[in-house]
Amino acid sequence: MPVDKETFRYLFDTYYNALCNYACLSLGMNDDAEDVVMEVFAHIWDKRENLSNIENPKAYLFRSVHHKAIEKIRAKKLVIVALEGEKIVVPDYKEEIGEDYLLKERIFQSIRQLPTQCRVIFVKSKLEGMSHKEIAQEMQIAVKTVENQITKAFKLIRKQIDTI
Amino acid sequence: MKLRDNIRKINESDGHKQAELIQQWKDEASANLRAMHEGIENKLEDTPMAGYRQYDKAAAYEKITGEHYEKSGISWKKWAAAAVFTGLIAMAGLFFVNNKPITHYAAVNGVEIEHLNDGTDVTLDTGSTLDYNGSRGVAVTGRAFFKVSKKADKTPFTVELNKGKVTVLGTRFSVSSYPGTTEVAVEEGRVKYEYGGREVILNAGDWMKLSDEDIVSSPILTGNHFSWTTQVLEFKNTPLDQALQDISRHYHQELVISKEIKTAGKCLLTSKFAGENLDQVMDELKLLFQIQYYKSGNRYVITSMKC
Repeated sequence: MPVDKETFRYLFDTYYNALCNYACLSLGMNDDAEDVVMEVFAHIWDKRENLSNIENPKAYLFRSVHHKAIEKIRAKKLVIVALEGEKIVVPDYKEEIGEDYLLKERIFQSIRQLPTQCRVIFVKSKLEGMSHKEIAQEMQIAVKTVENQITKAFKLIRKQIDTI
Repeated sequence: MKLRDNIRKINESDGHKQAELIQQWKDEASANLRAMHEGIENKLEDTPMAGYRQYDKAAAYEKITGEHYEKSGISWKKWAAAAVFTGLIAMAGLFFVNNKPITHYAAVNGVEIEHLNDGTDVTLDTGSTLDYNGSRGVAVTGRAFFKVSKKADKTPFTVELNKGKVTVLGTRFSVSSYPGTTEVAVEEGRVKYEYGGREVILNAGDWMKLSDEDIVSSPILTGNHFSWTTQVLEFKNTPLDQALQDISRHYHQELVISKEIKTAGKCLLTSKFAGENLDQVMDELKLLFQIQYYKSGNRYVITSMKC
């Protein structure tokens, strides 16, 4: 069964961001990570007419990105390896990793729906790694307020994720 | 598999036994559901999110497929559900005069560009949000730069701020609406700002801010006023006190020069920053002018410099 445009768009929307972040794990935060994911999707797009049905898209996509990332590292490290005899280490892809990144993506998307103050505090805490005390100081609010807003954020995010 | 087994069991047994089995099945199912929810609950808080970021999906999609990435936005139903449980329905009601759904945009982790239905482009700064009523009205919290498209029928475009409202026809301008800060700056065209029964017309090159509830306007004196939208800050023989104002605006962070320093206007800075964070910028200033500073909450206080 070929992949139609609607299916492609669905796969792209669901997985693109999670895959880019996953690729960063081995390639670091640079354009390489996004390039690798784009290559994988470009392959599916080009071959969509005669692609056999992808049974497990999650495993297929994460594995493809994993392999492409290894290729990229090999190509880049070839020179260094020759010089220093260093071994290339890329963590093996496991099913849980894909699950984990999809959860991260869902959390990330849910953050967008939070009320303003709640979202700002949650982003500072979870994404920027600031302590409750630092946030309280910066925003000139009580530490208790920060804690309450974070609890509230988790509650709302949980509700969001449950409806997905 | 399990479901089919259960149904078979139920079908094969008599009435009394059936009820018992169904109850057993229900208990099992709710225990499973509970376990699943508890799983999410624990995982949610233990999932490290630091460094997780948003990539430009639309650009990637268009590059791969050569087709336009139609933004689906948030459907009216979903928004309404979210609005009810966050108690925002009263606010949403304000925008529903034209019966179109509100689309809610937020730049969570970095500057984002949004394309609105009417052809207007909006650059949203990190942490800022935009509610779009589907035609010619938005509400902003935080900082946003607008390139408003002109309508043939001259329908004005309105931007609601925390304090006040901006009305335009077709132009380029930015707004800042934070607690304690309200600013409007015009790059091209003309805009009208209204607040508390007063109004002011701003022309290209003007900017205004609310100072103790008073409207204060002045010309834009720096080429870096909109630098946060492009992430590029450029200085050519710029007096350091002026440069620090630009840096402060760019990073939306308060930079204060201690009163004892009288030389800030004499030190000249020539440099270009593209994508650096504030600490990197401060490091360069440290090298160039041996500035010394300390951080106090959200403020950087500069205590000495040489040039």
